[in-house]
Amino acid sequence: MDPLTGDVQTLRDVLQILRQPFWVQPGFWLSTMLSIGGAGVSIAGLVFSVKAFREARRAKRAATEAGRTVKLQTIAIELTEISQRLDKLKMELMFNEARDLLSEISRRLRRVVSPFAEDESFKAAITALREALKAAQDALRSVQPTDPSQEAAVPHAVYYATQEPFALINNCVADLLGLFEKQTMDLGEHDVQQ
Amino acid sequence: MSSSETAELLGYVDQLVRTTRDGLIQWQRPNPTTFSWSTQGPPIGAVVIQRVERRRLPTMPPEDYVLQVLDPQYGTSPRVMLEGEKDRVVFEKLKELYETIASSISRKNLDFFRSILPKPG
Repeated sequence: MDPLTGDVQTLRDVLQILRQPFWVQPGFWLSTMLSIGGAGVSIAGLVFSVKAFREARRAKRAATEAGRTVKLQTIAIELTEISQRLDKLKMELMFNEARDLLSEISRRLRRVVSPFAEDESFKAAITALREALKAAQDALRSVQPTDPSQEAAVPHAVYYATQEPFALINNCVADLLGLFEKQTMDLGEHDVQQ
Repeated sequence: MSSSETAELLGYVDQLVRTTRDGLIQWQRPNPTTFSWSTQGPPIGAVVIQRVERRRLPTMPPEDYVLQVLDPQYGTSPRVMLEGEKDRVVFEKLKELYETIASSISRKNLDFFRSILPKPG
């Protein structure tokens, strides 16, 4: 065969192939099907990833809130203990006993409430509590014995001076206790809504 | 306590005010807001008056006064006790007594201070 005739024949074959629409070729449909399949798999993967992310975020939030609930319950227990101590104020209270009691409850209360001082739900109650503690310190200072050995000569002086400030502290503690308990309940409802 | 008993008590408080003004009672100040006077006896007893802060209601006075009459034979329980919180007349009378005592002690302290100052040549 003439070499030129062979080349022409090859060109004709190529032109014959090019004249056919690409969609009639099985390779096109195979690659299209594979592409669609791949896209579907990708979308499904994305959907599952989003779902997994949401689940993980929800689980993390639930764990955080559960931890917060436990913390709030611990605080509530501590506040209840302090309240019970304040309920048992006796008339024979001496200056040193009142000072020690006030120091202890002041330290414990400040430690417990300080993380929530800027929290809008607790802010007003914590401010009131701090003012009550300050009032109790002032009241205690007003009965500091000039001669400690003669303190017993004026019985009940410390009680009369401090009973009201201590009662005020106790009221503030009760208010805070209620707020902490409410927060714990809110978390539960919130969880249910989620 | 009946009203007649309260009136009688206020009479005694008034007597304390007068005798304090006359300088016949040596009051002590066991703490910054309490005055006490003990009799040398017999009968042995003590009168204690204390000013306490009150912040319960804005309509109430910011302070109250508590008067106790103590008898050593009764321990720390007061034989007589008077609080100004519930009765305005009692409150005013106790306040008068408290301020009279405070003024009397302050006067004595100032007199003492003056007595130790060098006399002008």
